Amino acid sequence: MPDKVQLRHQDYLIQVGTVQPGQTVNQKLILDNDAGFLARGRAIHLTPPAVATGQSQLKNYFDRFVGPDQEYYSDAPTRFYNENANFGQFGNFLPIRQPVYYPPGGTIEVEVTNNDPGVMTGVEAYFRGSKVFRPGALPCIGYPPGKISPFPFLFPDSVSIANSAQPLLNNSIQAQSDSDFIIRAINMGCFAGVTPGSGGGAQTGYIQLYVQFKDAIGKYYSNLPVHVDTCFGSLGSMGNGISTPAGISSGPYRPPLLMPEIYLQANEHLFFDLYRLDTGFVNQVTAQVYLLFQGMKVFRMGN
Amino acid sequence: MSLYRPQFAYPTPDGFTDQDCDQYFDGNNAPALGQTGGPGLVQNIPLQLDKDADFLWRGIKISRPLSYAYVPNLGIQLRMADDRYLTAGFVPVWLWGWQPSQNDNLTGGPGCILEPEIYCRKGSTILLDYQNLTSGGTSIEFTVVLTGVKRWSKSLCCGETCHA
Repeated sequence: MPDKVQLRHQDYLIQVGTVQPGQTVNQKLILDNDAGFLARGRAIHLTPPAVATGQSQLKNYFDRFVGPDQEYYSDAPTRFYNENANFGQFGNFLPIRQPVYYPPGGTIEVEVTNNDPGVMTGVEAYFRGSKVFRPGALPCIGYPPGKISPFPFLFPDSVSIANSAQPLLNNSIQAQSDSDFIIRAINMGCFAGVTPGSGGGAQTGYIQLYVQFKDAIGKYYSNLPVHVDTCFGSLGSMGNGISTPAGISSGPYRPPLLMPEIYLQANEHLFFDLYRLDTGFVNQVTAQVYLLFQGMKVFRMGN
Repeated sequence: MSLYRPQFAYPTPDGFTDQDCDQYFDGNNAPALGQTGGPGLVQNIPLQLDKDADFLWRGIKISRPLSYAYVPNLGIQLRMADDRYLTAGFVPVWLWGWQPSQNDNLTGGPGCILEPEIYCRKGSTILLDYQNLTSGGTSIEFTVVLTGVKRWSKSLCCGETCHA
């Protein structure tokens, strides 16, 4: 990895697809050519066969992945559930220790084994980390020179999305004019009423909701739209199908962190596209999706 | 400022000592928090901090006298004594601030942090607005705990509170 770099948050999604019971599938992803990638965490997700089933099949999901030298990090696929009870979801990725650096245009290959009696469909493997650019490759927007006054700040937003195949593109938030805004975590969810015993707040209303963030010049922070609850979820989601994520392992006190933070100058926009793929789940109605951008304001104090 | 510094990495200045402190508010010392009926929007609830020492506010815990499963669709908005808003609108507590309470395995858990901390003068007031984000909803009874440290001048602190 180069000594001096510019880092930028990045999620890579590998679409593994359908895996039959007892089957092992290999899937490769060729990384973007514009920058290397420092993988820091992993998560998995599948399309639930039914709302009630949720993600429970993933308890029998086994996998392993290769490093930049195309060597696997384990002798055989291992049970993901043994290492992370929530499958790395809700933005709490299973850490990769040490972080693995892939060069520009490198390849990540995952080997997935389905040891569940049922068919796994829509299997997805996520890698969260940072793109690694050479200095100067990107506009260098950062903390202003001289004295600054930081102040913690929360920026909520809300979007309504119907259960249709129609995406909602180019939604945005805009940093306020009085200061720069640094985003360190993004939470998303949908509140559909109290359901005691259901696992905390019952964020329902969607099952397969995907989001793709991009900066003001249209450069994305992920290679594909990523599942909302997997990458930015909070407090758990019935819609996602996980039964009762224990309060101790996910919730607003465990915010989905960005690696590294996203710096918005005053008045600058951050855009996001939403894709809802719930037409197969006929009972899912229009969802009111809330977003929360957590971070801090940076006031310029002069030199 | 390093991106990867630990939270609250800055040492206590010379001549001072810090003491962990939770400042608790409910319907007894902030009556508007005890409402169980009426309109869905309540504004300018004063949360007055202790008057004996400055307070470095580092986190928040919001809960109800019910269990984790009863998280309300409650939106909050906070304003400092100098009129600076901490939020750009009403923030759902299930995305920030909520803390499991009765009968939950995380009672007394970590809370949600403010980074960087906010320096509050002793006796200053934080204003809280809240709203039921469910259309037509009524007021919601809840409690607020502001977590952080009190900063004492060593010349003023007594033997029991001085950890120097």
